[in-house]
Amino acid sequence: MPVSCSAKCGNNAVLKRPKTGDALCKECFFWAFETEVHSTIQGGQLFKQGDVVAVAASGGKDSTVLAYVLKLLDERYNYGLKLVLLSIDEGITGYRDDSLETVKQNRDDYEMPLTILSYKELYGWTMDEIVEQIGRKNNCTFCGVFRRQALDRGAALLSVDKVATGHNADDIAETVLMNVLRGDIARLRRCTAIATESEGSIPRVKPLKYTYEKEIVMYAYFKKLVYFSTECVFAPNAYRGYARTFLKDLEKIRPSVIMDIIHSGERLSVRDNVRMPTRITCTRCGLVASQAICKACTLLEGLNRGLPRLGIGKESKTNRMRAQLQSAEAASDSAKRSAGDEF
Amino acid sequence: MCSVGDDGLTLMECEESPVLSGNTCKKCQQENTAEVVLRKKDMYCKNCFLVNATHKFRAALGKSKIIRQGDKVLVAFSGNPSSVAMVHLINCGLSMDTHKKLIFDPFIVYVDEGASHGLSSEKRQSMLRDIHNLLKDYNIPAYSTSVDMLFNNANNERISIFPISNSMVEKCGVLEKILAEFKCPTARQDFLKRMRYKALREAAALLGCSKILTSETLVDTASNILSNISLGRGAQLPYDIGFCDSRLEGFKVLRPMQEYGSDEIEYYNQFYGLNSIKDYNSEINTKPTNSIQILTKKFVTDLQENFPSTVFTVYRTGAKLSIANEDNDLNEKCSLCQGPLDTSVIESSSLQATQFSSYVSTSGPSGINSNVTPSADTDTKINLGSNEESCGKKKCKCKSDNTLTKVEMIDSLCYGCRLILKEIGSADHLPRFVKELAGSSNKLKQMRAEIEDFLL
Repeated sequence: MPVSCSAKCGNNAVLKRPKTGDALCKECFFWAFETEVHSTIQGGQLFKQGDVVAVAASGGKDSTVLAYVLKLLDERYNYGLKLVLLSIDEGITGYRDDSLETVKQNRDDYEMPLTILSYKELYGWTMDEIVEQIGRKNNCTFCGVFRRQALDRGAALLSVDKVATGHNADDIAETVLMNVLRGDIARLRRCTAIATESEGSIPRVKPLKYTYEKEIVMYAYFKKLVYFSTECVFAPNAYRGYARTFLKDLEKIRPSVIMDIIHSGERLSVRDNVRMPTRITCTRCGLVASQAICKACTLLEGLNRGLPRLGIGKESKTNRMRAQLQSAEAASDSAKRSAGDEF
Repeated sequence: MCSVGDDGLTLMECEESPVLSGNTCKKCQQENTAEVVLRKKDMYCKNCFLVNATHKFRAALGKSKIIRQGDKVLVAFSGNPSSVAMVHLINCGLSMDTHKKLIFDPFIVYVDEGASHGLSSEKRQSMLRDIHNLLKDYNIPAYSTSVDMLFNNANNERISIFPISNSMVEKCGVLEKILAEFKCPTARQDFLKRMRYKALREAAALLGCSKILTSETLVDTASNILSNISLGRGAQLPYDIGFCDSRLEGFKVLRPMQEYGSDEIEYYNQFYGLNSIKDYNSEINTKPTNSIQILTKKFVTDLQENFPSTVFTVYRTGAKLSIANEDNDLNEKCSLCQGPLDTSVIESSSLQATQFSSYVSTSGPSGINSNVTPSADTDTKINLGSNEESCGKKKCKCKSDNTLTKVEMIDSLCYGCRLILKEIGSADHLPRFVKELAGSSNKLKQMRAEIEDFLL
């Protein structure tokens, strides 16, 4: 027996919304999906008239739907935005090269200019080369840290006002759980923020923050949007995978759990006497950092010195390694000097 | 895309297999004495272990300086291993020589939750006997009470307590009827947990106790942190999982066993030959796919097995949280769990987004003027109206004036408790204290509305 659309439009429903459980027809679902993203944008005051916005595009479902929906809403509600695509090429053969083809398709379909920045040109290393050095265990650390910074650099290069990322509700909920599991109180506090803003860096916004991953897939499916869906060829991030499986299991029991976790995250507050990392700028590259030398610079230094593990693990460990290196260098320097004195 | 911003800090490093140098106690360095392996790597001799286990308990209480000399303290006892260890620790403390003697007056209370879990009267009676047996060697006054008294009309829906030696199980059918309304175990368990706390608080009031000790362990605390976050209770987390729960004036719930691993409790009870019984939660619903709480407990137990330090990390994270500065000036509390209300609808929040979603899914493109910017205020009202089955209007008089409709009730509940209310058909079945608190909070709100123009 066909179910009729909950929105009382008279049509038969074709889907059940994972987020609310309501049965909707295709048209009402599109409308609900788009109106909700619009509401998130308006409520969070994510954009201003005339903003140049870079959509961080990976070719995956989230960024493909984000680019599509932002273009559509911009036309429907006259946000007055200039939308551009920004992609990062990590240099992963068999993964990123294929997904970048999808981004190029998006560029043509949505008529947005596309900029691709590669790890190779920014850091001198591709992920393929990095994995050769570090192995498959901690490579996601490099990729994540470099991408975060690469997006900042790309945004500065294009002199955009905002960067929009495709983080969806599932991602946010997962991150809340992750940060509890690894005791990262500073990130726990800020990970539910819809916009990140800090001195000297370009704000990032998450217009899909309250959108369920499943609904993004549904939207892309019914709109027949092409996107790239393959797992990264390097081992998927095991730690995040742990939290992800847990969240998926929770969602099966109670679908609202995703929004419930985000609610919890939004209303958490941290005791006053807990020491928080302060935001400073990196003494080497000048970008935002929480330590004197930012993670990206440390990781890069490790790679260039042939010590890829330098930036892996705790800050104290890195500092220790660095101190050892310096004293070793000083020793060899003075050895050279004293050798020179003899002549 | 989803891992942008995740710099993959190293977490959950798999513990290396214990490097054993013979079996030397880590503490006293005496060789061939170790009998205890904690966290799968640290070895201790029996004596050092027991000294440390005792010290931990006393340190937890001493550090906080909350319990004062001569305080009457209710000790919650469920018969599970950690509560057995806790009572033993207290009893030892009472019989110490003067300068180490614990200085408070303990009263043990066992809360019979058999009715909540659908146990027969016979089974409940036999559990009571078991509890009595576990406690008979101690010289501490012990009582029993039961959760279903909160629902028993004959009892005026109040708790009463009986000495454990002559406690009898009384059956009252009301609780079963309410529980039958819950569609899923998640909300039911959350509800029952709140009721257990309510019963303990009332028992404490009857005994003149202002402090309550409960025996959640490290694993319990870590799983409560994760499950409470999943239940939307982030705002009240410090009360629900912290060392001290001070949500109600005049009562403090303290959790002195939080730093004990399950392995420590096991060794402790084994060395002292202490018996325990399975508590209610371990008896029923063993399928982890059933409820958020059980799934989370299983998740954390697996963590403890494979990544023991992660369990402690979760606990430490919880300890760094605080209750937010009240986001409403009325300092309102939830009528059910009595935690702070976390439901002020803020623009661009999860709560607002959820309400907006159910609003747009039911109204459709023709239902609202899509050019109107959705505002937090209107959404709430529309949404609440559409949720109510028969009487959506606030002024609806189809019920007697004393009973609140579900819609009216919702305003005085926190986010987490709203999820409980969503599960049950009507607010009528809630225990009287919830209805009374909700009623008076509604009255206060009305009064406030009347005089609003004159408030400065």
